Amino acid sequence: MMSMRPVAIAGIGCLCAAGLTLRQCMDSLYAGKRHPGPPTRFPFKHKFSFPVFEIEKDFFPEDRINNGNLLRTSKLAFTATLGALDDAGLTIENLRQLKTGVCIGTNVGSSMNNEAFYRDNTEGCDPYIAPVDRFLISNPTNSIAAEFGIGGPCMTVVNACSAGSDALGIAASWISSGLCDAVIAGGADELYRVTYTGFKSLFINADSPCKPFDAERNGLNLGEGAAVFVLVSERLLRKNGLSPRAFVLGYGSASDAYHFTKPRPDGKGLILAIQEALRTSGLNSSDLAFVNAHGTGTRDNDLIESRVLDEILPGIPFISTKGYTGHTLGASGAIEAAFTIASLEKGRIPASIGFKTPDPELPASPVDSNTEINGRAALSETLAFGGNNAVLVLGTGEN
Amino acid sequence: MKISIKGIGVLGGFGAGLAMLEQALIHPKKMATTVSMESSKGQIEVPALLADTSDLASYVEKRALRRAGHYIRMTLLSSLYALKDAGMLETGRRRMGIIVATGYGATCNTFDFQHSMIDSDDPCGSPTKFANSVHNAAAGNLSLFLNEMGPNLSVSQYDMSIPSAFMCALQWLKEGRVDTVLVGGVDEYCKVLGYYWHNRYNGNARKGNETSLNALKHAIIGEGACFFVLTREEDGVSPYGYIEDVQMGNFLRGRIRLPESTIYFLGADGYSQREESYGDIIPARARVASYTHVYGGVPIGPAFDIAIAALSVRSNTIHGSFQNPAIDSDQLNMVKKDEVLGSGRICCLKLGADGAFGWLTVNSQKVQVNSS
Repeated sequence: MMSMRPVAIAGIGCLCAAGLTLRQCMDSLYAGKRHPGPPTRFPFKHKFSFPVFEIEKDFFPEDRINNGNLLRTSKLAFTATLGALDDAGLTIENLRQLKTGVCIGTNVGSSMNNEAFYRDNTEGCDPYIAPVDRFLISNPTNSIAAEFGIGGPCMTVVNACSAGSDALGIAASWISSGLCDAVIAGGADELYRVTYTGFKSLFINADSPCKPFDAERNGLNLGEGAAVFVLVSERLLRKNGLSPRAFVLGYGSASDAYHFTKPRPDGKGLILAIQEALRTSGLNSSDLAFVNAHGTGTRDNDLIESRVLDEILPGIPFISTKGYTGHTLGASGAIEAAFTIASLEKGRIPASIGFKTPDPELPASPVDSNTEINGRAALSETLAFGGNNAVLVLGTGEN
Repeated sequence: MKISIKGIGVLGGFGAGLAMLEQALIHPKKMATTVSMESSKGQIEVPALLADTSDLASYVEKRALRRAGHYIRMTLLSSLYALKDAGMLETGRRRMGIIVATGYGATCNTFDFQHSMIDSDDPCGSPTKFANSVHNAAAGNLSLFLNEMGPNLSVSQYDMSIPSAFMCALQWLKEGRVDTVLVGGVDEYCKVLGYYWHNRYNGNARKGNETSLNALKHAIIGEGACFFVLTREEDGVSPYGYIEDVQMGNFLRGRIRLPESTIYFLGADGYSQREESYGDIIPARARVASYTHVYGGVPIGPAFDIAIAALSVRSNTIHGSFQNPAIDSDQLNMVKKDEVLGSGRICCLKLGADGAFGWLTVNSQKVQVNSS
């Protein structure tokens, strides 16, 4: 792929267990605060529940939306979208008159998995079909487009845990090719009993707050949240006198073609994705200030990522922020892209919370304290079920 | 740049493979089977166009498929047909990307996993069913099976899943990310869907105007998979024609500019909310056809229309259209008998929920590609 022109990010909205705004999140990260706990929004009958990172507070701005009858994932996406528009200084009226698209990554927000409906159906209770009706029109992409009256292309990316990164990469391509003037893009996912039980069935939930890259790491914690970006064309920037907050500089993705739920031992898929992202950005590895790793806290993921980073990006500091947020699945790529940009802006990366003891099997370890960085570009990577690897190169607004 | 269709693989209620699809177009016959299920009000019977993947045994060892559900099997078989048709089954795949569209996802595994959760009173769901319940189970397994390490994308946008997948495929080819894209869609029937469709459209159909009620009477639930091999093509001739244009948007929130001088294949399957609008937005006197009776009501239906358009280019024939009560045939100029494909251009148009639209134009002549 040829190198791509930098695509401007006019605004960012982000919420997760670390905070209800990007600023709150970064304050928590730099202060080393995290708030894991047992799930409170759904019942779980097992004698022991695994910690999660839940958004406990009311976050949804009922007064700013016409249709409040949304799935929780859509509410998360919608709230992040409002944050991104506010951050950009744009109103939806600005975007409605333009060729604006919506591209959101998710898992739960696109799954027909209403448990109450299914339970009633299997028990012969003839449930009302309203939940299925709602599912059929209200994934987060559609919810945003419908609420804001957006008439451009709409796409929901369902690439499991790399969906948020892929959505941003695809949205950047819509801008750079002239398909859209603006794109509302990002990722969103809610904590849900089905995914909670599903990850438990795979034996990769940690029984304590997760410890990415640590010698004692024993699995991941699930989380929830959303991050949404307003990507805009150069024409729109000029027309509205906007100054870009950041840029998508490069994007790459590749498959492991190895195993559906385990990363490829030689990390070749991740390496290909990193190489493509760097190639499209036109940057060298020496231009990177840091890497925001996927770093889930599972034995396999962290081992492969550490090996790959040591092999192709040696000496570049890296972090995992999942210790603050849990694994937010389809939202994680977008949330971590937001953290990456905010860290570049501050010139400082937060400590990888949960990491204390280096693992002798891992050739490289993340930073364990808040660390000053130099540079205007960084890389954010995600790995996913299905063997997907997606990598973004992000830059600050001075680019 | 020109994008050509190099190969097609189809699987649905009409049978397995392009020849079966073509036969269904030439000799229309009743193909729907009846699916039964229990409810508190007794047995429910739902007509359905279901797909048979038994031919997959010709390509893949049984052992390799032991954990693959119907959703993955349909994807594999249809993709293998497409690659074989393109001459790329064994060799010749260079820098290939994979894009899979789905409206419902892997519904059987999704509900089976929930069933195992409910059955075991919570904590012991099946890990295999959980892993295979994610939407990208099809695309992920496809890359595994084909040993393809290129970009791999799954999209889900209800009725617009196929236009969004093709839009992305064209972007990848235009950007030079890949040289070939295996792109298509899959959706499967499950009992929960059968129950829903029975309540929504058959047993307890909503009341509406005459057109809607007529439409509901012909709606049949479908399932299947349909995949295409697309490449950039500067030299050579593609028997199936070239992708000229992919467009997506919303006609309630903005303008819809349909191409002139084209035949329209309408994805009016009897289920979408806006089917009455076809008559309002199609250019006057334009020739239209609809073949939804062949593949049924399924979110990835537009993929079958694209396959039928490509077959029409290959045979230079537009097959007589199904008299589709979902669209007002007085208002539209329907193709009633087989005709020669005059204009050389076919626009596959789908109107979806809340005014969403997507279309893709197939042209027998090489054309520069557009997409928006």
